[in-house]
Amino acid sequence: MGDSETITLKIIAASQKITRYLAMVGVGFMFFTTALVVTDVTGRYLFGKSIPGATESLGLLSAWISFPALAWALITGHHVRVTLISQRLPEKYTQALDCLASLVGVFALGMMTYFAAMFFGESFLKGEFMMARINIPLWLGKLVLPIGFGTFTLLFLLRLIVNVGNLFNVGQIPNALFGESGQIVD
Amino acid sequence: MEPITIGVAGIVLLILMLVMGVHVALALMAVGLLGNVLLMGFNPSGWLATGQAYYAVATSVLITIPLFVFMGILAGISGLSSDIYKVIGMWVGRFRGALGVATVFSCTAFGVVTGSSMVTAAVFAQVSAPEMRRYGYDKRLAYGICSSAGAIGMLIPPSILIIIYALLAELSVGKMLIAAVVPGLLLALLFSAGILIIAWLKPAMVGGVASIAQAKATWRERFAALLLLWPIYVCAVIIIGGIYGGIFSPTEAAAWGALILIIITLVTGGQKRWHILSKCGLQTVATSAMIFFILAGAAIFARFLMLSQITPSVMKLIFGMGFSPVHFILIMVLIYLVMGCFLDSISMLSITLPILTPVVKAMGIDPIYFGVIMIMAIEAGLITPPVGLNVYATKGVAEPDVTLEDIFIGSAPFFILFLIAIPILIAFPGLITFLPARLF
Amino acid sequence: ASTPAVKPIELTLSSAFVPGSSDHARSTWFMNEVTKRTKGQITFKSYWGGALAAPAAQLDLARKGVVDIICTSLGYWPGIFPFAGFSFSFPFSSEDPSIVGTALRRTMASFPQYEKKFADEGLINLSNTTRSYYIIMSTGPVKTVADLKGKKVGLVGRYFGMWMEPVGLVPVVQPGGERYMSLQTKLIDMSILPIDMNHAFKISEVAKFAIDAGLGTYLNEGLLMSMTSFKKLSPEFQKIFIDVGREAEIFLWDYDKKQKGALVESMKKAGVSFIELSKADREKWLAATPDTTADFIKHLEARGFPGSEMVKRYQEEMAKLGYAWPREWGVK
Ligand code: NA
Ligand code: NA
Repeated sequence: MGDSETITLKIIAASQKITRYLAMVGVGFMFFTTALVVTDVTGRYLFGKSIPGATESLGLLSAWISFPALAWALITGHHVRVTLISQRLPEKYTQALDCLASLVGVFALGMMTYFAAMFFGESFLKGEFMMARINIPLWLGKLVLPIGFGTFTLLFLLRLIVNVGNLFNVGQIPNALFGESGQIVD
Repeated sequence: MEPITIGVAGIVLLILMLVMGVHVALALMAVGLLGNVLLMGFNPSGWLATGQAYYAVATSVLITIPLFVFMGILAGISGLSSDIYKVIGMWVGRFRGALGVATVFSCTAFGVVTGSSMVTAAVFAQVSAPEMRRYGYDKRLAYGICSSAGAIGMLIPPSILIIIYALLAELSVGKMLIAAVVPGLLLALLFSAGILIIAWLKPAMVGGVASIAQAKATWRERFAALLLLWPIYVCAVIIIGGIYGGIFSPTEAAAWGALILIIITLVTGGQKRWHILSKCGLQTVATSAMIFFILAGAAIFARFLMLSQITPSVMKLIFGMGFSPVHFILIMVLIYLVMGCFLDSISMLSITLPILTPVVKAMGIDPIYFGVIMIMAIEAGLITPPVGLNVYATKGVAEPDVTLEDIFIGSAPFFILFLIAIPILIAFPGLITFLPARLF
Repeated sequence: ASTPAVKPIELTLSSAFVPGSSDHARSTWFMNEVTKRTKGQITFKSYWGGALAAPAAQLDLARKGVVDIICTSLGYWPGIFPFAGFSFSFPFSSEDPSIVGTALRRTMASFPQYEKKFADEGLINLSNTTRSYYIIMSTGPVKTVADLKGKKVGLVGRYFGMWMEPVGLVPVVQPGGERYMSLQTKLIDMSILPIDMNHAFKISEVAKFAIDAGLGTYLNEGLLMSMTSFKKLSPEFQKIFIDVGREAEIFLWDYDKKQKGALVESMKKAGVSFIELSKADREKWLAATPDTTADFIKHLEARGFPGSEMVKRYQEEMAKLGYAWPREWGVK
């Protein structure tokens, strides 16, 4: 096993850890949302009192539950793809197609990250908020977009490097690290 | 290049990317971005896409997706799912195909709780499909049932799609919701009949004789087993009672469903309960990320097709041809079926209805009758390739050995049943118009 | 003047509102009128019901060059446009859209910050929207203010809730699309919507009592054009856009008044009873309502607008137009 391969494996391991932490942020928001809604409903039904801004923040929470886990979902093989052709091709062709998919990922998600950063930035600088009983900052929700897409882009970049390495026999790193085999990494 | 040419090229590029194994959501997003760059330029394309990606996800009703998925995953882990199918097997296991039929009706019943087809598909693909396979069901059929029957829930109130249809077409939300109930049940019956026919023609597809062993239980054992399902009763009473008793909205119900399963896990999970919760939580956010990424990609791609003006051009062409009402309905069904291959349901409505509604009115077609037929055609799009959102949602939670193609193939018989249901509804308008006429 | 024959320009309009809404009628009138007055040299392509972007994402469509004109409610961006929903910080004020619309135009004319704000965002405000008449629909009969106590009322926004609480109503924040079912299941007993949205959601099928509490008219900046697109027009055409935009406001006032009459008639035919609260009851309610205008002044001033002066001027302009304020608002 070459040096570059070892380093790459280390980077992959580190990124798995980081994406997992990010996904845990989403899990935290999911528990928080459950608690918020249940409390809001209980308060409304029993005491005729709602939590100010609870309903309005649900959209924002929905974004915070799912976007942080975009990269984690790639590592754990959740993102859906067609394997009809690639399964039947010789390995080299499969590797070439993987390169292509990663390249598309880097470009499209890179573009999304760039605009998402401005989307958040403008909102933050202008102090955007939602007109509810309390002022809910809109940028708090938009912040998750560059975070989610940014880490997702970086992971696709890593995947591209691995794919290219595999294609040109620089190293052989199993695609399973990116959940391509459909196996779930715990 | 003309916008329509760019639109057609975009569809071809999308199919190519999908076949080459680019992740589905990514392909939709990339083609949408690129197409819009060609139509409007780099900056407008990026801003339009970002707004779409954010608001396709940051919407309060969509909070039900992660919460119900979480509920489904916890039900699977806690052994509740296998208990359900064990009991169903004891009661009706001796009838071939019974588990499949039970799944179809469970999906229909779950429609009372949620207004989203993708949620139903994702929940049942976790709860039911692995169980059906344990009883010997073919994997394609097992997952095909879940992805297809998930679509029935959209015809049973509450339904996001029907509310949006009624609003865009200026119809009564209440009448429209009631009008879709019988067609929804018709679809459930047809799906069940389809499963029974498959079971009769090819017993191996539904586990042959394997499930019959379960049926040997005594009556005493059968009734005793019903007690096993107490968490289901608790869940059903709280969720359905809560919604229809006016305690919470269908959106809020998802949080209660999640809470109940969290409590059950904490009570029955033993020492590993916190570990189970966090592991299932991680699986939930990964599944939600997958579903939302597809929703975002589909939204961006749909804006591109919208801006390329393909649909209005085709529709205006058809409006000018002077068809009779029945032919017009059939042609519109065909158009929705074709659009359903590439677009999500809500995008289809917002592209077509503003142009279509005045034409339907002018032709003197009962708008609710027309609407329910179109909803049916639109729902069929959830299981057709290449963009079949229910199939994607199912695949996202499926067992590792199941491919996307498997689920598309497994859904194909149900697509044919959609094609049978639609002419039945066209021929017998009473199936749609009877209830709303009676209740209002 | 004879203009040389040029290829017509096709502009794009994106609306957050659905066909059948009064905004749809106004925008359609605007587009037709512009096409007519430019002798067909400007035509339009339009997207309705948030087809091109979610309501809250409409602003970027015009700011970032996706479309030329948007029709939306500025209420989504109170941080960017602090004056959004100006008229609606005044509890139970005038229901006459022409009075409210004229007073707001006159008020803002003396505050250059107002127009500058749009220009800073790369926009020009062509036409204001009066958001129809707000009405409280109830599933059960209500005779006096005392009957309102403990009832749950579905609504959105910042101030409605504060106006409802003094009489014991319980505000439940809920999007319009969920109201129908919520009224059916008795999750809420009442719902507040503009009368046209009320019609769009067919609320009167499930709530048979209409309470006219005099909630007033909501006014918003509604038809916004990208400054870049606007500057591409010839001065002659620019003037047409401005003129037609103003006239579209007047069109909308008349449209809303006529529509209110027609909708009230059709609701009565469908078996809805209209309930008028007694004068004494309304006065009691008004006296108990918190001064949300004072809150709005703070909001404006925190964002660099002379809130006190604006609010004062608006009340004066309204009075000049013959509106008698039942109470002074915005008292510090
Ligand atoms: Na449903
Ligand atoms: Na499809």
